[in-house]
Amino acid sequence: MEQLLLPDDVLANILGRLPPRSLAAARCVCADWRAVIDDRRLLRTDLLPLSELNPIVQELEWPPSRLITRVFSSATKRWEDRPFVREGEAAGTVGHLQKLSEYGEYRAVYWPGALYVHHFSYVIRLSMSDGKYRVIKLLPAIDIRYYQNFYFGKSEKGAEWVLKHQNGLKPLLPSWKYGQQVHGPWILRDVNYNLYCEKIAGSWFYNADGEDISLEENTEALLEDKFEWYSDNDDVVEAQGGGENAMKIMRFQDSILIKRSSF
Amino acid sequence: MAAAAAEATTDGGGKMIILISADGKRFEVTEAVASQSQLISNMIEDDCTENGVRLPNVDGDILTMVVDYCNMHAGDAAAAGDTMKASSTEEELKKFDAELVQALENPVLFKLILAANFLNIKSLLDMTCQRVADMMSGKTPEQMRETFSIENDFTPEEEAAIRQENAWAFDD
Repeated sequence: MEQLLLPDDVLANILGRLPPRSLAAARCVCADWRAVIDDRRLLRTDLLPLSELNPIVQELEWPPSRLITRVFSSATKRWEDRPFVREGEAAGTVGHLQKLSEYGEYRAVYWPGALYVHHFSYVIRLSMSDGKYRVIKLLPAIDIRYYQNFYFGKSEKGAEWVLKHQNGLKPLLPSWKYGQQVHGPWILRDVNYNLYCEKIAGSWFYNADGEDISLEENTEALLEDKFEWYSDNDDVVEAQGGGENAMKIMRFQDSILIKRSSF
Repeated sequence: MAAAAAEATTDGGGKMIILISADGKRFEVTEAVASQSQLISNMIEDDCTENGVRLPNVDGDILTMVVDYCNMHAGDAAAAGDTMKASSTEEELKKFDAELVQALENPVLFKLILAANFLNIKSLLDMTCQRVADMMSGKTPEQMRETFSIENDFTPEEEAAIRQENAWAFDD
């Protein structure tokens, strides 16, 4: 019988129709098949119930040393799978991160040369020029199950990134100085800090769930801050995720758009 | 029906197009039939089908099947209802499709997939790929290799490691 010699696209079309078990078996058939399955991430272990995941898989580090992300190239005007090689440590293990994966929203922002993508408890800095990426862990003190509305912003100095939050961070971080360098390029900043200082003179109101109840004022503060911070810099087009787990799109010279980069 | 250029006169049902296989066989079909191939549909739009469409990587026997398939399914796509088979019922189509792929030996099936891929006939590609997927489903890696004559190019250690990664798929 003749060997199954089909183009990768066609092979992927076929393999993509297999149920997970058969796909996992197909992954053991030969190196070509494994490459097609892995490169296109056909075997979505993230969609399997946790109990289905082998403990060994759960202990694998994530994101993998070679991360394949779907990107839109402005040069070819097409979506393509582009690999990025990790520098430095992973964010954690598959098992650990999977437990967190239902929380958080994915946002991204482009800064010359690199795209910062938020994945629940960590940020990936994708470097366009050399195909490398780095994991930046976020603040371990924050329980993202309750505080998931972080977004990226540019600090006044322009050279660093600020991790902001629309809720007050005061009860979380009683002893932290705002604007302190915490981890990598990140600075933690509470956008409402000044607002509260001025208007409420240090009094904080929280409901039983610890959520900020002064929503209106928060919104105002956000808008003001955004205007002030972004109007002076045309290079940065900030993207904030909406209610869905999808990133919005950035426009830039070497533009790169990312669909939800799935875990 | 296939190789026959029987309907050389078009009966007023739109222009005819000649498809020429790698081994020089000629097939005359209506534009409506041929347009199921996205490749040919684009060529029709670009007006470059006048001297026949040469398909250098599709053999005559495979093209026969493709043309049969397209004739059979023309009713789906074509508004011009002059093809004999345009009135095929859904059941007839299903039966035809099933018979078309199930009887095929693997090498022929793969050639048909390649042709569907090259000609960009989505429904035929879907159907043939599904057929291969059905053949693979539920098989062990060894059975898959046997079915498709694939050489195992992993070392025993590599294979053990890969199996270990997806061990959940191998316990019963």
